[in-house]
Order: sequence, then structure tokens, then C-alpha cells
Amino acid sequence: MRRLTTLLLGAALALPALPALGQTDATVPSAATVLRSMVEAPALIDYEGTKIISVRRSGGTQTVTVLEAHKRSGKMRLEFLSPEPIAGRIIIDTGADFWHYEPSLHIVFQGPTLSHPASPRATSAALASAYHIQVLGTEEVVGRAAFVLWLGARRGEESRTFWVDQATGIPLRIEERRRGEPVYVAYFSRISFSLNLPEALFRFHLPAGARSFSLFPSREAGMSLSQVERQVGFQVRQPAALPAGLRFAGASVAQYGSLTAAHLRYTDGTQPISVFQVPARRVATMGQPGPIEEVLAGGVRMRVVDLGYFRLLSWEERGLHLAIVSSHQSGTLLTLARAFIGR
Amino acid sequence: MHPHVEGQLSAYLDRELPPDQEAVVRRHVEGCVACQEELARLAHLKRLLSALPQRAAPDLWPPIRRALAEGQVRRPAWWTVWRERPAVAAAAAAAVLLLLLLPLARGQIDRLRAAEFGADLFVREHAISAADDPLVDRAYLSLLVTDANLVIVGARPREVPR
Repeated sequence: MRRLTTLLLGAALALPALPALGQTDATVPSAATVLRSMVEAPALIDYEGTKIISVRRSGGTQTVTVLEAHKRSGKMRLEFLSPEPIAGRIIIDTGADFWHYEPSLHIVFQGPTLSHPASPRATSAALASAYHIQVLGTEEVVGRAAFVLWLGARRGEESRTFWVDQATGIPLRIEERRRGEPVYVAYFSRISFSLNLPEALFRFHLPAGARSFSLFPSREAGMSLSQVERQVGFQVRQPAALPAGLRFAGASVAQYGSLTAAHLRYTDGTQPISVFQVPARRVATMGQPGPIEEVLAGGVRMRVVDLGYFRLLSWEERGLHLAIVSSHQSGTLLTLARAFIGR
Repeated sequence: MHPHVEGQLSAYLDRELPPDQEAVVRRHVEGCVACQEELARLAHLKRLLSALPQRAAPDLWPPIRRALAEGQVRRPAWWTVWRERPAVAAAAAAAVLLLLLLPLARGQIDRLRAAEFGADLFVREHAISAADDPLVDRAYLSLLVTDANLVIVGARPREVPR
């Protein structure tokens, strides 16, 4: 049944691209050129469109429709249309702050921006070292010519495919696969470019009478481990040896209410992995945001929760509650978890 | 009776007045029958009092001094207050119990609350750090962050997909 769902999802999501499958063009540029145009596009192009997002989650599929507007550079406005529980939700990322308005509850949240602009040259180089990159050909998406850019992780079995608009470099369709199965697909069903989108669209005005919360749970992103230990008040565990291909990417403290956790970040150059640690005495048996699958690793019972795009692996050992969150497949998370056991 | 003389008749009888006032009182009494009668009543009372037998008052100080020296005089012990003032003692005991239990109760509430939103806080924090990935779709990360926002502040219960 799960396999059938996967096949149906894959087939349904591939339909918009089918008419142009297999077409190649003698003038197709190199993969590096297409990648560079895609990395540079957000700083050069404004656009507004309707995006459909489908994510595999716990054997089913979650589909979301959202109006997405992007303005140079790093500004984003989202208005969710469906499904019903999130319809009307508005998000405005000003490039400095992230605002979330939930109209059904009349609540506003302010948090850190998700816009992290980096040098296109450095980004392209980093991606080239982490992925095998190919241009598979050209296809038409929503009536526009696109290059099909494929990136396969040099380590692991994840791959990402982008249908990159030839004229602008904006991805019109995104597809992520693990072990060949689609786990995430997003595409524009309508898109407009070269609009002079007004600045006011990306400014947030607090609705009258709305309850507001300021959620900045991270403290100082670039902290040393000793600084983190001083803040959290316990000795932070580190892996005996990092699994091949992973490197330490930084540490910080995540705090909200009475919960203060050490947050260690690792990366394999493709997607980040977060490891959270909190003393078990400060948290009761933690509720999980999805169905739990129990596994045994290194003699320790662990819980795996499939959150769709992310996976969460958690366990308790010698007075600490540890949790690993990542979009990597469970095997990668378990390998990293084993490196923490007994430390 | 004449008020200006009445208050001085006893002193006049005891010959305690200054000579000039004594002369004034004497002249008045000689011409006033009422004051003569009052003076006679006072004189009679004085005679009666002087006829009473005299007894020495007991000396209380030596036994008190001895008791103090021997530590026999003690204030009631504070822990006997519950017998003397049970309501005050009960209130004090309740306050002490509350002070002792408050941190424990609060710690337990914090643990339960942390367990409610802990996983969502981790997912939110990871989603924010995942925005460093140049290939990630910010629209979907935003959805994950905002879903977690609602659970963290307790505005909406976590939805577990079926």
C-alpha cells in the first residue's frame, strides 16, 4: 500500500513535466552555469505565484497551496490557501525579521529571518563539492522553458532536481528524493516575473488587538562549546568520532520557557543535522509530533518520528535527553546517534 | 464646703501648709461651720487610721533575685505556641509547607510543559538553521516554523497525521 501510494504520488507529481520529457537542446549550458544562475536569481528577480507543495509523511501525502511573493533581496510573503487548518496564515519575512500572523487565532509571532544570503560563488563551489551535478535536458513548466538540473549527494542517497526557468534562473519545480522515492515536490501552477512588487507587500503591520509573541529561542548562533556549556549548566556530550563526511558546523543554545537545550549543528555539505541535548530531569517524557517507531541502537532504545521533510530521533541516556533532527534518512541519523552513545 | 479650702484641709490638719496659707485656712475655718465639720471628720479619720496595728510588708525581692540567678524563671518555649495559639501555628505551618512544595510543584509543571513543546522547539530551531541550505524551499521551512510556533505557545495542540 505504501509502495502504491509512493508510485501514485510520483506519477501525479510528474504529470506537469511529462509533455517535455526527454527533450534536449544542443545549446544547453553546463551544469555549473545553470546552478550559478539558480543561486544568483533570488538577488536579481522578483516574482509572485501560486505554489503547490506536496510532502510524504507517515505513509500519506500532505499538500499545501500557498501564494508566494519574493522581492530582492531576501524578502518573502506567503499566504496559505489550503488545507483548511492553515488557510489564511500570513508570513512576511522582511529579510531582517520573520512575522507570522494566524488569523483564526488572532495571534502574531515574530522570529528570526529565514533569509541567509551568501556569496553565489562560494555557494556554487560548496554545492559542487557536495553533489554530483548534471543538466538532464530542457522541459516546459507552466508554459515556460526550463533546464532540468539534477543534484545527487556524493554521500548518501538523497537527490534534488530543479526545473530552472531559463529566462530568470528561478526554480519552477523542485523535487527531492531519498533512495529514489519522491519525498518533497513543490511547483508553481502560476508565476509572474519582472513585477515591480510594492515594498508595502513585504512590510508587516500588527493587526489591532492581536496577541503577539516574540520567539527568538536561539542565543548567539556562533557560540563555542564552552560558552554553550556555561549557558546550559551541564557538560555537553560530543560524538566519539564523527561519521565519515560529517563535520561540526556550530553550536548555540535553544531556550523557551523553562526548557534550555544545547544545540549542536553538523553538516555533510548538503543538508544540516541538529543535535539537541537537555537534562532528562528538566523534561518529562517528551511528546512527539508524529507516530513513533522504536529502534535499538548501541543497546539504547530510541524513538524515530517521521515528520515528512524532517525526521526526529530521540533517546535518553545517563541523565540526558538527546534529539537529532534532520532531513537526512534515518540511517544517517542512527549512525550519528551511535557516536554519542556512552560519551 | 468651699472648694478653695477643701483641698487644703488635710494638709492644714497635718500642719504641712506654708504659714501664709495656714493663716488663710485658719481664718476661714473659724468662720465656716461646714469646713469645721469637715475638719473634724478628717481628724476623726486620722485618729482611726493611726489606731490600726502596723505590719511589715513582706520583702518579695530576695526570692525573685534567687529565682533569676537559678534560671527558674523562663519564658514559654516557642514550640509550645501550638498549644497557646493553634490558629497562628496552623497558618505558619501551612506557609512553611507551601514554601517547601512550591519549587517542587513548579519544577514538575515546568517538566510537563517542556515535554509538551520540546520536540516542536527542536524542529523549529532546526528549520531555522536549515535555512542556511541554499537549495531548501523557504516556503516549506516557513510552514514548519509557523506550525511549531502555535504548539510552543500552547495556542494549538499538535496535529499528528494519520
